[in-house]
Amino acid sequence: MPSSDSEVRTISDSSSGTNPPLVLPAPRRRGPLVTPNRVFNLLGWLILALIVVFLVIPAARHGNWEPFGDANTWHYLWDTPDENGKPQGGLVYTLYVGIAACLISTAVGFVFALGRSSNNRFFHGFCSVYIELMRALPSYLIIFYVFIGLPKFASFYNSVVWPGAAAWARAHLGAGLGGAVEFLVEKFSYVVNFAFQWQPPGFAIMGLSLYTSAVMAEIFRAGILSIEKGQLEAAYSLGLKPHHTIINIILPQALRRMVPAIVSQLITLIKDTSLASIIALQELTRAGKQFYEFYLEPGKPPIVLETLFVVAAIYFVICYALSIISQRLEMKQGR
Amino acid sequence: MIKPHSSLAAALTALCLAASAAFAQTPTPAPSASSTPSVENKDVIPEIKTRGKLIVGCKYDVRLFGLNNPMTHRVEGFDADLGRAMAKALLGDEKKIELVETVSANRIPFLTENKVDIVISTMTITEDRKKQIDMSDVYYMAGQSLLVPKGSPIHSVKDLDGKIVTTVQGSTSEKNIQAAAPNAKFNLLKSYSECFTALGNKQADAMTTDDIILLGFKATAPDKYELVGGQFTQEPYGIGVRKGHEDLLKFVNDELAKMKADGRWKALYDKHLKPVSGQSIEPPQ
Amino acid sequence: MLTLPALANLLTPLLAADAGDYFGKSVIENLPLFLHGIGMTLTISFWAALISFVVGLVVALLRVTPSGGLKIVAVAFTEFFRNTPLLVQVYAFYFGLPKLGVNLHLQLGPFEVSDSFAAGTLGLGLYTGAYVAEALRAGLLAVPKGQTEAARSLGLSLLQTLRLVVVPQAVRLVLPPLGNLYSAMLKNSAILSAVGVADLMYQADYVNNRSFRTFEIFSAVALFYLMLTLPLGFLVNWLENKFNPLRARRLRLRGARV
Repeated sequence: MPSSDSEVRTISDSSSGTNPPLVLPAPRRRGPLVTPNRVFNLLGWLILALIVVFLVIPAARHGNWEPFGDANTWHYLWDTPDENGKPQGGLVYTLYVGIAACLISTAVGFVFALGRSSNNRFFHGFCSVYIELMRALPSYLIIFYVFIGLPKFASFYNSVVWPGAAAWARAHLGAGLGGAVEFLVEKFSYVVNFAFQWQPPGFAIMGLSLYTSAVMAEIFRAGILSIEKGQLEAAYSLGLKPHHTIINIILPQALRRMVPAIVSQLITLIKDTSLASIIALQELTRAGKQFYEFYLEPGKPPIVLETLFVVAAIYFVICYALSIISQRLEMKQGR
Repeated sequence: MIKPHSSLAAALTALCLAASAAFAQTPTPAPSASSTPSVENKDVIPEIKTRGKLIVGCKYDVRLFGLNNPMTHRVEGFDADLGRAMAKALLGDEKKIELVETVSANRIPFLTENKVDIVISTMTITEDRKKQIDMSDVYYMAGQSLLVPKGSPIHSVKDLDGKIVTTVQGSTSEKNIQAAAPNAKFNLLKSYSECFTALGNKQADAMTTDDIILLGFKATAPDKYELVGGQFTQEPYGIGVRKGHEDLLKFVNDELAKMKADGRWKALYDKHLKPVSGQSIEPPQ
Repeated sequence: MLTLPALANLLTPLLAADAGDYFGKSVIENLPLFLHGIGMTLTISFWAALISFVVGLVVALLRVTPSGGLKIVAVAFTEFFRNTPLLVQVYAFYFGLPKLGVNLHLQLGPFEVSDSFAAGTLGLGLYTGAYVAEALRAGLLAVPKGQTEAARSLGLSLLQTLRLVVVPQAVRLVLPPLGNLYSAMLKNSAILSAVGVADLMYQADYVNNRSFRTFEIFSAVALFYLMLTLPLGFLVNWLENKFNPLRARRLRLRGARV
């Protein structure tokens, strides 16, 4: 039982999205807080039995589980194929968006962590503001912002910024430099439009990454700062250059210490992907919802709770497995 | 390390700056006004023909018009089949279509940013929308109505005072009903299916949107619900085309006219809508 | 150099075209709606905090009791609620519970509790409750076992041990993470707008659907949320320093803001 008596120690002392990690450094202890008591123990098992007999078994028996015996249902929840079998959503998208956002925000978070540790006041200030701002806002709001803001940005860019900047460059900078500016502005339009064409997954990844990169930056910073100062001093006194120290001494250790925190952040991301269902990303939650909504047929009982339970169970299996992995890694390092 | 207070102030400044730098705050029409090179009239049909498929934005969760069937993996309904008919007329094969799910909030941006060629998604033709995109002739004439459980005391819009009405937030229906029944309470959700679930859960006394969508839901439990109040608005559905794609707009309009004349429209209607509306109607003009 | 007229040209669409129009107009005009939204966000957070604390306390106590059966129930509860998305839970409460015949609509005299409010509070409360339980349990277990054993051997009863020895120490350890959890909960309350809770996010969507002045509306909403969450963050920091100066210093050294 990974979470029973050994307490998790995450290095991210941050409230992260919908899954705030615990911060208490609890010592490992064996055995319960108080000594076992037979009557009490018996009562506990009795209550468990009552719950199983009167809640779990009736729910399982009276639910309409028939649709879940059909392979098509699972296809639909797995990747929501279209007529040609091309994946359009489902669990595949949940994992795709979650993992992509995790990778992107790890990279971006690293940059922000460096920026925040930088001595340059501007970079330090900018990165700090970004991190604090993103962490103080609901991730749902950020996703929503991207969803309705980015199309406006795209059309604003395409219709105002691009032609405006191009015309201005042609008029004021002459053929050579002006042409170069025009070229760059045009190329950037591909970036903007690519992000747009890629939606809804693109928007979801972007929205989630905006938020998670701030959390990741804090994880990186904590990881880097967790390396004892003595090592730095030792490296310097051995004559290593700063960048060598960072790459060869600090990063390998810091990364190893950060992996559990990154994995638990991935759990948060996979859960938060469900928020993108509200902005029309066809991921697991939305696939489940559309499934029970489709299933309204005359004379058949609705399968709202059943479907939501199955969806929740799928999330649970993934997230629980990840949390076990995260805890194993943590324990390995604790040794 | 910067102090929390100054970081807040800096955050706000950055926010405002980013605000003014990044986003257009134009009242409609959107900045895709005709002053820009990208909106000039451009023949888009050759492009579609080279591509070999027509990209159509369609709803995936509206019964009778566009509903993704988990069993067959096919989007079924009037809108989806209309898109297929368009693909067949343009490219010779109804399979040469790529359906893309659109929801109310993104169907216009999808068009203006060229993500789809046309949008067929129960979209009412309104003046506001016409400023941002071109809209075809009417392909279906719906009207807003009320769906209530059988035996409900609600018989028309007038009976809604103090009752809970559910509909989709931001839809035309929501604006209409707030004007028609200002004293009702509103339970605004994100999709029509959610509204219907809420109505079935008795979390609302009535659900309102276009009658034909309501009929689709009613058909799932015909003896439990009824439509009341008649059509209290007119909702002409049109196909959305990007501004500047005049050849495509002309093609869509011509094809619609042909479909209405040669019985294909009627066949579509009979296939999808007649079973629930129970009446034969002539194509809208 | 970008000339001033060129810049002005670029920014024209940002500045309102008509006289009497200005940036932020739709927010100012709909301020009562937004204030209602903030009120609802705070109300629902308050009730959810209450529920989550009670639930968390009960579950944490179940986790540390010597009863195997209760422990299984408690572990199942925390792990299930922590490893599934809040949105799915809220959907299950809002769309699913009525299918079992559970009516969440309450009329307590003059007070009416709507379904969405009840389902939202319950969902947010139980979700946060699972985290609170873990935090409280960690706090309880952090008190060294020797102390409880010493207390018991001195003749203190189980309750006395908890009240006099364990809880006072645990409180100091537990308050900062609880503050974090409740700050996260406040942010999570935005999700409840998906089932029609008329909170800040919902009102923003509502106004946006009428005025389409997306940018100013959602910037204002971001500001409102900052006004709610940042003070909580400061409170947590303050609690940290007050109760646990050593730990706060260590964390500061590690560079993490809690």
